[in-house]
Amino acid sequence: MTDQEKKPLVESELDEKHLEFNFNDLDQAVEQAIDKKKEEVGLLAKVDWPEIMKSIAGLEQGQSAVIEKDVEDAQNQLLGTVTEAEEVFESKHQEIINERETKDIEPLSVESKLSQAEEVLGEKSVRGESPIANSVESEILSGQDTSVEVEKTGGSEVQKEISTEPPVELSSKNKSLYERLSDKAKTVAIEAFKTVDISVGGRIRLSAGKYLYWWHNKKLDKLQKEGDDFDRQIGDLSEKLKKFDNAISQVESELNPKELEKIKEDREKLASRLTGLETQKTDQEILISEQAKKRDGLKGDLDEIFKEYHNKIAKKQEPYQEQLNQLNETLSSLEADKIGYESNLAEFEARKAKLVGQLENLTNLGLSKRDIKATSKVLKSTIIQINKEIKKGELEVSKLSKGIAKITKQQEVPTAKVKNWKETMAVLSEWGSIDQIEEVPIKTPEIRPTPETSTPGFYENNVEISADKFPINGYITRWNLISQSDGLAIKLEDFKKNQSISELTLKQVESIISKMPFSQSRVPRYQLKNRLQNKMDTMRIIFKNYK
Amino acid sequence: MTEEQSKIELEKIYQEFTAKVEEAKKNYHQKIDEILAKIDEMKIAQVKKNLNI
Repeated sequence: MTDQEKKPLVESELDEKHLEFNFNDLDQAVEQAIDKKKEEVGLLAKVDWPEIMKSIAGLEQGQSAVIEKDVEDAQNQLLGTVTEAEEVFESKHQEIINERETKDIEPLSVESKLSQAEEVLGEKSVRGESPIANSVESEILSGQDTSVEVEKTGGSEVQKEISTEPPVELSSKNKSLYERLSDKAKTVAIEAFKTVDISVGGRIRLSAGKYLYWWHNKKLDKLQKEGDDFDRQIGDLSEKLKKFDNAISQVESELNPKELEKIKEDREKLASRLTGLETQKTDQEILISEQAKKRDGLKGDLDEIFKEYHNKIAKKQEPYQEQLNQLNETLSSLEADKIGYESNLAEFEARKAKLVGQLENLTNLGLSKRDIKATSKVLKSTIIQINKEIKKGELEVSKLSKGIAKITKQQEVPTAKVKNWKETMAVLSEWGSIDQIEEVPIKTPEIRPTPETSTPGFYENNVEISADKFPINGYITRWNLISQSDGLAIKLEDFKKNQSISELTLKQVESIISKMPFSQSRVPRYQLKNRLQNKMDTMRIIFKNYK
Repeated sequence: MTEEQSKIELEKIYQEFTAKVEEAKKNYHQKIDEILAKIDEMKIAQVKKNLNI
């Protein structure tokens, strides 16, 4: 298998160059979306026929042939129209490509192209809910038009309401035709749509979910790499600052006050750049933390979709499996009976052979004519009796063989159904599997050493760990380091008002902060709660030893 | 043709294709309805024939 083949399905839609999007990617994405549509249609053309074939089983041969031809026509018309539409698309697409290649086109921004690709792929519209699933389920669940099915469970009759509302909007002509159908036929039609929902809708939703997971996993990787760049820059600048401080201490005595002031100004500029970088890095950590949550949430969503379809398939498979279990039980019982009869037959045959032998040997035993006659009569009568039993046994074996053949035939439909649903499950597992997507590990932020003379950095490892005393001052200082740009800095004296500081825990500190007014905040009111929570999550990375 | 126009054209032809597919699917579903109705009618006629109605 080549590397290309190993790529997950969604990865082939938009590849590694996703972030450097160009028209080739968009063309490819659209072509793949077209292929998907074709695949959907191909499945749709296959999916209804087993149900229809089943319902024409009782018709006369001539009539079934008419229906089969109608079915074939409908199938050909569907596939033919789609093929024609594809040909038209291909031709127009080629024209656009030719036109584009002859002009110098300014590239669009990455975000707008990505957004367009997602729209073209229909990812935004299918995210979370399948249009097919929605239409089917909402219609079925609306249950305005229902029929009642009587189900026998353990001898008692249970009335079960079944919706017979058409799962899609029909034209008035077709609506009238649909209404003329028997409840059973309506149920068959609805079941057919449910099948489409599982096999096609499931694939669409799982592939959309997988695509989103893949994309946000990639984005997390990108953000973490950017975070690593900040680390490198901070390291370089810290080193530079250290050297600067050493140089100042060596030449301090030789400089006049003006020169010294100038050098200190330069040093402050460096220190201020370092603080700026640390703030940026902290903001980056918040972005990474949000992105990781989003990515993991999408994984959870995908699991949910998968579970939903697993349950739907299990529900569809269940009646066939039950039917199959009952048939297997009956078959085992018939086979056991047949073996019993065959064994009896063998015994009778052996006894008969023995008696026939005795009859043939009677004259050689030295008996009188009278005894020979009497014994011969008894033996013949017994043989006749045994022959009757053998015929009876053979009749039973024949009946049982027919029964076994009938049950074996009856097993074909449920066996095929169970196999079909198992295969559908396997296909959905393949479409929803993220095994081939390498999960980007979430890095724990490094604790960086900071030059003694600079402002303490956010990750500086000088947090005093104490089991019973929480370092409020350290917490507020670090909080303020990550709150310079959004106006969420906290004044220690405001915090100390009405608080018995020395006895607070991390949770209590967070609770106080979440209730503070933040009148200088530049964060929109509706985002404030989330922003505070994200900051608290980031602070917990540093203060992880406190509760 | 600018990139924006090119993109709009591409989207337009994709939408045209999608509309045709949706139309074909709709016709196909209608055909199913008709076939199901036909089967029903055939079955009813068969029952009537068997009962000499």
